[in-house]
Amino acid sequence: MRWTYLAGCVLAAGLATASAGAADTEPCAKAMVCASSPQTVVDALQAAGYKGVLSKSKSGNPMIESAASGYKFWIYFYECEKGAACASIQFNITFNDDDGANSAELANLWNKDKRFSQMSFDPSDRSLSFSYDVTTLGGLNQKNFADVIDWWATMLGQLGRFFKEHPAGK
Amino acid sequence: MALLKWIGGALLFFMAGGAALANDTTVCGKGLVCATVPQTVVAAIVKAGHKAELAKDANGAPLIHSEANGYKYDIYFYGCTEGSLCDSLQFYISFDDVISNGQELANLWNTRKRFLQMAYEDGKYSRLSYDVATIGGITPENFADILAWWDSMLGEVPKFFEENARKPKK
Repeated sequence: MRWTYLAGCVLAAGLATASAGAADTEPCAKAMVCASSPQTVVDALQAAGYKGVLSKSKSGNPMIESAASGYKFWIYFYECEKGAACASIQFNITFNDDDGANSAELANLWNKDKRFSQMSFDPSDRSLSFSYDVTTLGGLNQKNFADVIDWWATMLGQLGRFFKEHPAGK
Repeated sequence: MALLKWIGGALLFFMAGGAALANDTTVCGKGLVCATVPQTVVAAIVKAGHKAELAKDANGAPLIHSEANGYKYDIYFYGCTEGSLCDSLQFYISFDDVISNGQELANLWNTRKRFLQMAYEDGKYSRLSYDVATIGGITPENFADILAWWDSMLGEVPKFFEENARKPKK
Protein backbone atom coordinates (compact mmCIF):
# COMPACT_ATOMS: atom_id res chain seq x y z
CA MET A 1 0.00 0.00 0.00
CA ARG A 2 1.59 3.23 -1.07
CA TRP A 3 0.56 6.48 0.51
CA THR A 4 1.76 9.77 -0.72
CA TYR A 5 1.05 13.21 0.47
CA LEU A 6 -0.41 16.00 -1.52
CA ALA A 7 1.33 19.32 -1.31
CA GLY A 8 -0.65 21.61 0.81
CA CYS A 9 -2.30 23.89 -1.69
CA VAL A 10 -5.49 21.88 -1.77
CA LEU A 11 -6.89 23.03 1.49
CA ALA A 12 -7.15 26.77 1.68
CA ALA A 13 -10.44 28.47 1.49
CA GLY A 14 -13.48 26.33 1.98
CA LEU A 15 -12.77 24.66 5.23
CA ALA A 16 -12.84 27.31 7.86
CA THR A 17 -16.51 28.08 8.47
CA ALA A 18 -15.76 28.66 12.08
CA SER A 19 -16.57 31.45 14.28
CA ALA A 20 -14.68 31.63 17.51
CA GLY A 21 -12.39 32.92 14.84
CA ALA A 22 -11.37 36.50 15.25
CA ALA A 23 -7.86 37.59 14.35
CA ASP A 24 -5.31 37.79 17.18
CA THR A 25 -4.27 41.43 17.29
CA GLU A 26 -2.47 41.29 20.65
CA PRO A 27 1.32 41.09 20.64
CA CYS A 28 2.69 37.59 21.22
CA ALA A 29 4.07 37.58 24.78
CA LYS A 30 7.76 36.85 25.30
CA ALA A 31 8.71 33.17 24.94
CA MET A 32 5.17 32.18 23.91
CA VAL A 33 4.13 30.46 20.68
CA CYS A 34 1.50 32.33 18.65
CA ALA A 35 0.14 32.00 15.13
CA SER A 36 0.27 35.80 15.03
CA SER A 37 4.05 35.44 15.09
CA PRO A 38 4.78 32.55 12.70
CA GLN A 39 8.47 32.50 13.51
CA THR A 40 7.63 31.42 17.09
CA VAL A 41 5.95 28.32 15.61
CA VAL A 42 8.98 27.60 13.41
CA ASP A 43 11.34 28.07 16.35
CA ALA A 44 9.29 25.77 18.58
CA LEU A 45 9.22 23.08 15.89
CA GLN A 46 12.97 23.29 15.54
CA ALA A 47 13.47 23.25 19.31
CA ALA A 48 11.52 19.99 19.34
CA GLY A 49 13.88 18.56 16.71
CA TYR A 50 11.69 19.00 13.61
CA LYS A 51 12.30 21.09 10.55
CA GLY A 52 10.11 24.11 9.91
CA VAL A 53 10.17 25.92 6.58
CA LEU A 54 8.05 29.04 6.53
CA SER A 55 6.35 30.14 3.32
CA LYS A 56 3.01 31.55 2.22
CA SER A 57 -0.14 29.82 1.03
CA LYS A 58 -2.00 30.88 -2.11
CA SER A 59 -4.25 33.02 0.04
CA GLY A 60 -1.22 34.87 1.40
CA ASN A 61 -1.37 33.36 4.87
CA PRO A 62 1.71 31.88 6.51
CA MET A 63 2.31 28.16 5.97
CA ILE A 64 5.01 25.88 7.40
CA GLU A 65 6.36 22.69 5.89
CA SER A 66 7.68 20.09 8.27
CA ALA A 67 8.00 16.32 8.70
CA ALA A 68 7.54 13.74 11.44
CA SER A 69 7.14 9.98 11.76
CA GLY A 70 8.03 9.53 8.08
CA TYR A 71 5.42 11.96 6.79
CA LYS A 72 5.80 15.41 5.34
CA PHE A 73 3.10 17.70 6.75
CA TRP A 74 1.96 21.30 6.66
CA ILE A 75 0.88 23.79 9.27
CA TYR A 76 -1.71 26.23 7.96
CA PHE A 77 -2.55 29.51 9.66
CA TYR A 78 -6.16 30.62 10.13
CA GLU A 79 -8.21 33.66 11.14
CA CYS A 80 -5.55 35.90 9.66
CA GLU A 81 -6.06 39.45 8.50
CA LYS A 82 -4.13 40.18 5.32
CA GLY A 83 -1.76 37.33 6.09
CA ALA A 84 -1.04 38.46 9.67
CA ALA A 85 -2.57 38.42 13.16
CA CYS A 86 -3.57 34.76 12.69
CA ALA A 87 -5.29 33.15 15.68
CA SER A 88 -5.03 29.41 15.08
CA ILE A 89 -3.09 26.76 13.23
CA GLN A 90 -3.91 23.45 11.64
CA PHE A 91 -1.49 20.56 11.28
CA ASN A 92 -2.50 18.82 8.05
CA ILE A 93 -1.67 16.09 5.56
CA THR A 94 -3.81 15.27 2.54
CA PHE A 95 -3.34 11.83 0.97
CA ASN A 96 -4.48 11.80 -2.63
CA ASP A 97 -3.07 8.46 -3.67
CA ASP A 98 -6.06 6.20 -3.22
CA ASP A 99 -5.36 2.50 -3.54
CA GLY A 100 -9.03 1.70 -3.11
CA ALA A 101 -9.03 1.83 0.67
CA ASN A 102 -9.94 5.49 1.06
CA SER A 103 -13.54 5.89 2.19
CA ALA A 104 -15.80 7.57 4.73
CA GLU A 105 -15.83 4.22 6.54
CA LEU A 106 -12.04 4.23 6.88
CA ALA A 107 -12.07 7.81 8.17
CA ASN A 108 -14.78 6.91 10.66
CA LEU A 109 -12.74 3.96 11.92
CA TRP A 110 -9.95 6.38 12.74
CA ASN A 111 -12.21 9.02 14.27
CA LYS A 112 -13.88 6.44 16.51
CA ASP A 113 -10.64 5.27 18.07
CA LYS A 114 -8.16 8.11 18.00
CA ARG A 115 -7.77 11.42 19.73
CA PHE A 116 -6.21 14.74 18.67
CA SER A 117 -6.66 14.23 14.93
CA GLN A 118 -9.56 14.35 12.54
CA MET A 119 -9.66 12.23 9.38
CA SER A 120 -12.04 12.94 6.50
CA PHE A 121 -12.67 11.50 3.04
CA ASP A 122 -13.46 13.67 0.05
CA PRO A 123 -15.58 11.58 -2.37
CA SER A 124 -15.00 14.07 -5.20
CA ASP A 125 -11.31 13.15 -5.56
CA ARG A 126 -11.12 10.22 -3.12
CA SER A 127 -8.47 11.96 -1.03
CA LEU A 128 -8.07 11.61 2.73
CA SER A 129 -7.39 14.64 4.86
CA PHE A 130 -5.80 14.34 8.29
CA SER A 131 -5.70 17.34 10.60
CA TYR A 132 -5.29 18.72 14.14
CA ASP A 133 -6.51 22.22 14.97
CA VAL A 134 -4.98 24.31 17.73
CA THR A 135 -6.03 27.79 18.79
CA THR A 136 -3.12 29.98 19.77
CA LEU A 137 -5.03 33.06 20.92
CA GLY A 138 -3.32 34.27 24.09
CA GLY A 139 -0.25 32.20 23.23
CA LEU A 140 0.94 28.72 24.21
CA ASN A 141 3.96 28.33 26.45
CA GLN A 142 6.92 26.35 25.09
CA LYS A 143 6.18 23.27 27.15
CA ASN A 144 2.55 23.11 26.10
CA PHE A 145 3.37 23.64 22.44
CA ALA A 146 6.03 20.91 22.66
CA ASP A 147 3.25 18.62 23.91
CA VAL A 148 1.02 19.69 21.01
CA ILE A 149 3.79 18.75 18.57
CA ASP A 150 4.33 15.49 20.43
CA TRP A 151 0.63 14.59 20.07
CA TRP A 152 0.71 15.31 16.34
CA ALA A 153 3.90 13.27 15.82
CA THR A 154 2.45 10.44 17.92
CA MET A 155 -0.78 10.35 15.94
CA LEU A 156 1.20 10.42 12.67
CA GLY A 157 3.14 7.44 13.95
CA GLN A 158 -0.11 5.62 14.61
CA LEU A 159 -1.39 6.55 11.17
CA GLY A 160 1.16 4.37 9.36
CA ARG A 161 0.12 1.39 11.45
CA PHE A 162 -3.56 2.16 10.90
CA PHE A 163 -3.15 2.19 7.11
CA LYS A 164 -1.32 -1.15 7.20
CA GLU A 165 -4.09 -2.63 9.33
CA HIS A 166 -6.79 -1.41 6.94
CA PRO A 167 -5.62 -2.13 3.39
CA ALA A 168 -7.84 -2.02 0.34
CA GLY A 169 -10.36 -4.80 0.01
CA LYS A 170 -10.52 -5.63 3.70
CA MET B 1 -33.17 20.53 16.94
CA ALA B 2 -35.52 19.03 19.42
CA LEU B 3 -34.76 15.42 18.72
CA LEU B 4 -31.14 15.60 19.64
CA LYS B 5 -30.22 14.18 22.93
CA TRP B 6 -26.99 13.63 24.68
CA ILE B 7 -25.88 10.36 26.11
CA GLY B 8 -24.07 10.50 29.41
CA GLY B 9 -20.42 10.06 28.87
CA ALA B 10 -19.98 6.53 30.08
CA LEU B 11 -19.48 5.11 26.63
CA LEU B 12 -16.18 6.60 25.78
CA PHE B 13 -13.14 5.18 27.37
CA PHE B 14 -11.51 2.91 24.82
CA MET B 15 -10.79 5.85 22.73
CA ALA B 16 -7.51 7.04 24.09
CA GLY B 17 -5.18 5.46 21.58
CA GLY B 18 -2.78 8.31 22.00
CA ALA B 19 0.68 8.00 23.27
CA ALA B 20 1.97 11.43 23.84
CA LEU B 21 0.25 9.96 26.88
CA ALA B 22 2.37 10.61 29.86
CA ASN B 23 1.46 11.71 33.33
CA ASP B 24 1.95 15.40 33.89
CA THR B 25 4.16 15.46 36.96
CA THR B 26 4.94 19.17 36.82
CA VAL B 27 3.39 21.75 39.11
CA CYS B 28 0.59 23.72 37.48
CA GLY B 29 1.93 27.28 37.06
CA LYS B 30 0.14 30.10 38.81
CA GLY B 31 -2.87 31.32 36.88
CA LEU B 32 -2.67 28.48 34.33
CA VAL B 33 -5.28 25.85 33.47
CA CYS B 34 -4.04 22.27 33.89
CA ALA B 35 -5.70 18.86 33.83
CA THR B 36 -3.54 18.04 36.84
CA VAL B 37 -5.61 20.51 38.86
CA PRO B 38 -9.23 19.93 37.81
CA GLN B 39 -10.37 22.93 39.81
CA THR B 40 -8.44 25.21 37.42
CA VAL B 41 -10.56 23.81 34.57
CA VAL B 42 -13.77 24.24 36.56
CA ALA B 43 -12.86 27.82 37.46
CA ALA B 44 -12.04 28.70 33.84
CA ILE B 45 -15.38 27.30 32.64
CA VAL B 46 -17.31 29.15 35.32
CA LYS B 47 -15.43 32.34 34.47
CA ALA B 48 -16.64 31.93 30.89
CA GLY B 49 -20.19 31.96 32.22
CA HIS B 50 -20.96 28.26 32.05
CA LYS B 51 -21.77 25.86 34.80
CA ALA B 52 -19.22 23.19 35.68
CA GLU B 53 -19.89 20.29 37.98
CA LEU B 54 -16.83 18.27 38.97
CA ALA B 55 -17.35 14.53 39.34
CA LYS B 56 -15.44 11.30 38.79
CA ASP B 57 -15.72 8.83 35.92
CA ALA B 58 -15.94 5.06 36.26
CA ASN B 59 -12.13 4.83 36.39
CA GLY B 60 -11.84 7.37 39.16
CA ALA B 61 -10.50 10.09 36.87
CA PRO B 62 -11.96 13.60 37.14
CA LEU B 63 -14.95 14.43 34.94
CA ILE B 64 -16.73 17.74 34.47
CA HIS B 65 -20.39 18.09 33.46
CA SER B 66 -21.17 21.34 31.69
CA GLU B 67 -23.56 22.87 29.22
CA ALA B 68 -23.37 25.15 26.17
CA ASN B 69 -25.79 26.15 23.42
CA GLY B 70 -28.51 24.10 25.06
CA TYR B 71 -26.39 20.94 24.99
CA LYS B 72 -25.12 19.12 28.03
CA TYR B 73 -21.60 17.90 27.53
CA ASP B 74 -18.73 16.35 29.48
CA ILE B 75 -15.03 17.01 29.82
CA TYR B 76 -12.98 13.87 30.37
CA PHE B 77 -9.49 13.82 31.85
CA TYR B 78 -6.90 11.56 30.24
CA GLY B 79 -3.42 10.31 30.95
CA CYS B 80 -4.16 10.12 34.67
CA THR B 81 -2.74 7.73 37.21
CA GLU B 82 -5.16 6.83 39.96
CA GLY B 83 -7.25 9.84 39.10
CA SER B 84 -4.51 12.43 39.16
CA LEU B 85 -1.53 13.78 37.18
CA CYS B 86 -3.80 13.92 34.10
CA ASP B 87 -2.15 15.26 30.96
CA SER B 88 -5.02 16.19 28.66
CA LEU B 89 -8.72 16.92 28.33
CA GLN B 90 -11.45 15.85 25.97
CA PHE B 91 -14.64 17.81 25.43
CA TYR B 92 -17.28 15.24 24.51
CA ILE B 93 -20.94 15.04 23.51
CA SER B 94 -22.97 12.33 21.81
CA PHE B 95 -26.24 12.36 19.90
CA ASP B 96 -28.44 9.32 19.90
CA ASP B 97 -31.01 10.53 17.40
CA VAL B 98 -30.91 8.08 14.50
CA ILE B 99 -31.80 10.81 12.03
CA SER B 100 -28.55 12.56 12.75
CA ASN B 101 -26.47 9.42 12.67
CA GLY B 102 -24.38 7.80 10.01
CA GLN B 103 -20.75 7.66 8.96
CA GLU B 104 -21.40 9.64 5.79
CA LEU B 105 -22.84 12.46 7.86
CA ALA B 106 -19.92 12.31 10.31
CA ASN B 107 -17.55 12.42 7.36
CA LEU B 108 -19.30 15.44 5.93
CA TRP B 109 -18.83 17.24 9.25
CA ASN B 110 -15.14 16.32 9.30
CA THR B 111 -14.59 17.59 5.76
CA ARG B 112 -16.16 20.96 6.57
CA LYS B 113 -15.50 21.76 10.21
CA ARG B 114 -12.39 22.39 12.25
CA PHE B 115 -11.45 21.56 15.86
CA LEU B 116 -14.27 19.06 16.62
CA GLN B 117 -13.99 15.52 15.35
CA MET B 118 -17.25 13.65 14.65
CA ALA B 119 -17.47 9.87 14.73
CA TYR B 120 -20.33 7.43 14.28
CA GLU B 121 -20.67 4.33 16.42
CA ASP B 122 -22.48 1.77 14.27
CA GLY B 123 -26.15 1.61 15.03
CA LYS B 124 -25.78 3.64 18.16
CA TYR B 125 -24.90 7.30 18.16
CA SER B 126 -22.77 10.09 16.71
CA ARG B 127 -20.36 11.94 18.88
CA LEU B 128 -18.25 15.07 18.79
CA SER B 129 -14.96 15.44 20.61
CA TYR B 130 -12.25 18.05 21.00
CA ASP B 131 -8.93 17.07 22.55
CA VAL B 132 -6.70 19.52 24.35
CA ALA B 133 -3.15 18.92 25.58
CA THR B 134 -2.48 20.60 28.93
CA ILE B 135 1.09 19.63 29.83
CA GLY B 136 2.85 22.87 30.72
CA GLY B 137 -0.47 24.55 31.44
CA ILE B 138 -2.76 26.72 29.32
CA THR B 139 -3.10 30.47 29.73
CA PRO B 140 -6.58 31.70 30.76
CA GLU B 141 -6.85 33.62 27.46
CA ASN B 142 -6.06 30.54 25.43
CA PHE B 143 -8.39 28.32 27.46
CA ALA B 144 -11.17 30.88 27.00
CA ASP B 145 -10.65 30.60 23.25
CA ILE B 146 -10.69 26.79 23.45
CA LEU B 147 -14.07 27.08 25.17
CA ALA B 148 -15.20 29.61 22.58
CA TRP B 149 -14.34 27.19 19.78
CA TRP B 150 -16.20 24.35 21.49
CA ASP B 151 -19.24 26.56 22.09
CA SER B 152 -19.14 28.00 18.62
CA MET B 153 -18.88 24.65 16.86
CA LEU B 154 -21.60 23.15 19.07
CA GLY B 155 -23.71 26.08 17.95
CA GLU B 156 -23.26 24.92 14.36
CA VAL B 157 -24.51 21.41 15.10
CA PRO B 158 -28.30 22.03 14.80
CA LYS B 159 -27.95 23.78 11.45
CA PHE B 160 -25.58 21.10 10.18
CA PHE B 161 -28.01 18.32 11.10
CA GLU B 162 -30.98 20.24 9.72
CA GLU B 163 -29.27 20.73 6.40
CA ASN B 164 -27.57 17.39 6.01
CA ALA B 165 -29.20 14.66 8.06
CA ARG B 166 -31.49 12.35 6.22
CA LYS B 167 -35.10 13.21 6.69
CA PRO B 168 -37.59 10.66 8.00
CA LYS B 169 -39.67 9.00 5.28
CA LYS B 170 -43.26 10.17 5.10
